Amino acid sequence: MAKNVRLVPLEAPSDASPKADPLTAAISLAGVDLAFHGDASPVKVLSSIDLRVEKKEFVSVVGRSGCGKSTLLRVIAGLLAPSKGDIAVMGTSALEARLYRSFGIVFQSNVMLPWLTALQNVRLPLDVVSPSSIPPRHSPAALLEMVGLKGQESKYPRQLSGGMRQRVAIARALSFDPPILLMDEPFAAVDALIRQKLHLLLMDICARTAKTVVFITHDVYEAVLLSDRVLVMSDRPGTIVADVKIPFARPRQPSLRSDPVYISLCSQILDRLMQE
Amino acid sequence: MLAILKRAMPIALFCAVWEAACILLKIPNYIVPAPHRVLEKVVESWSLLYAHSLTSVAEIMLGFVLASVGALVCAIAMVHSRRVEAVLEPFLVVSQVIPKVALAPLFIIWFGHGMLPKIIIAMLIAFFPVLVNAVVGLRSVDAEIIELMESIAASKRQTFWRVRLPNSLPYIFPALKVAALLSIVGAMVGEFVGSDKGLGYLMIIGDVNLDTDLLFAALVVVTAFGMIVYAVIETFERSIENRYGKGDVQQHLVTV
Repeated sequence: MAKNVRLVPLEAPSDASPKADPLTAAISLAGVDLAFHGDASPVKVLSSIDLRVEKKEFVSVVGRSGCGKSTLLRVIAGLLAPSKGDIAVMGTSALEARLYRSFGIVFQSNVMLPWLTALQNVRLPLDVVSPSSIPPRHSPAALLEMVGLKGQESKYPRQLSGGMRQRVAIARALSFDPPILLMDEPFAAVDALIRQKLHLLLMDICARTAKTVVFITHDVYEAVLLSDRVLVMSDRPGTIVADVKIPFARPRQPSLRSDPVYISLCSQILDRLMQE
Repeated sequence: MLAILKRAMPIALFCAVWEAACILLKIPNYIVPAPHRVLEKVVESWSLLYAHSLTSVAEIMLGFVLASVGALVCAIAMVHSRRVEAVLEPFLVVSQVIPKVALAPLFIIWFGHGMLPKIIIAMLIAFFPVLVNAVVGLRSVDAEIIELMESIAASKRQTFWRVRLPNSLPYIFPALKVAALLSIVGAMVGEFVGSDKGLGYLMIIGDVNLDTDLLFAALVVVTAFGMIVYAVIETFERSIENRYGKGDVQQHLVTV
């Protein structure tokens, strides 16, 4: 298949309203089910997920551990194939989106390759394609500077702190300047102070680069601070049970944490999670 | 240099105690020769020792290199193909149990008194530690790293060269170290069982003639060679450790 041809689905989507057109959304999932093959019977992990993320929108998915929220992210990234349902990422299938470099992923644990320097780790996605095919918009060094790691280019992962490694992971996810960032509990493993700094960094990057972000977390406060919308996921089989709009203007400050509206939104979402 | 001296200190001390024990306890030379006699013998019979060590070194290095390359190729095949794994796995288990040195007489019958049976024994002993560790090293890649490579549309080949192989190096080098020493054992045993050349042959000659000096001299030469090989591999291992950081590399089961 030629990489420069974007395929258009032949069949028109059943819902004809322009708002539901999967071609205009950054990410659109319709009726997605996912079951893993268990020992006796298949284990249903995701159940009829309908999800639409607009371009440049920051959407968080919150849920308890094991509810399938990370699985949802992997389905969007094409790392897992759904048992049922349709997925469109930037108007293409999840696998094509990968070839078009439509998204970058940041995982929870530091997935830096220990034998590569910070700069080489950021370069990794560029190194796996022939240099001529897709020119990067930012140089890896500029990306490291953007995440606040200027001067650390030649350090190895073991010489960096957990927070710094996560910054490298963010820089790497941005190396193709993809329109979408997929983040799987990226700040769960760093301490609270570093996490606050990383929140500010992420909001700053989103403001500067206009990314669409899908952010998986179990931290409701983090989700409300960062997002335009927070989706609440039920326990297994995971399904989206609430869709909460977050009304605060941007740029947001950490002082938002003491805002009464913020606090009531957080407790509403927490209550909803407790019910599950 | 100071570090080497520090490491050699206990050995020097040991030799001093040995020397003293030989003098004080009046141990006959044909039982345990004093260290100075062994060194004298090494110098005196150097041309003999040198000629025979050439044979042994060739057997050891050929056995070691063939084993290492073969084990790496097998490990890669096993990690990439379920079918290859299914075929090789039972052999792996059996091979761990078989006393490989006990096959030496058989190889002498099959391949005569030349170098070939020794190379085969050395290879057989050195093969499995490398294979087991290489398989573990190639497999033990963090699942998220594999997902990351997949998400950036890296091919299987790219994932192998950029992730799996470098990931396996801290597992492979300790195994190479063990394999090098095991191939020395293999070659020596092969020479004991039937040969007319090599340091193992010299040891047998020393044994039957009650020339314990010669036996010890051959032992010193083979030990010195083993230490050199060990040091060379360790140097590589260190440089890898420096780059990777000390990992939690486990040594896996090794049988002779």
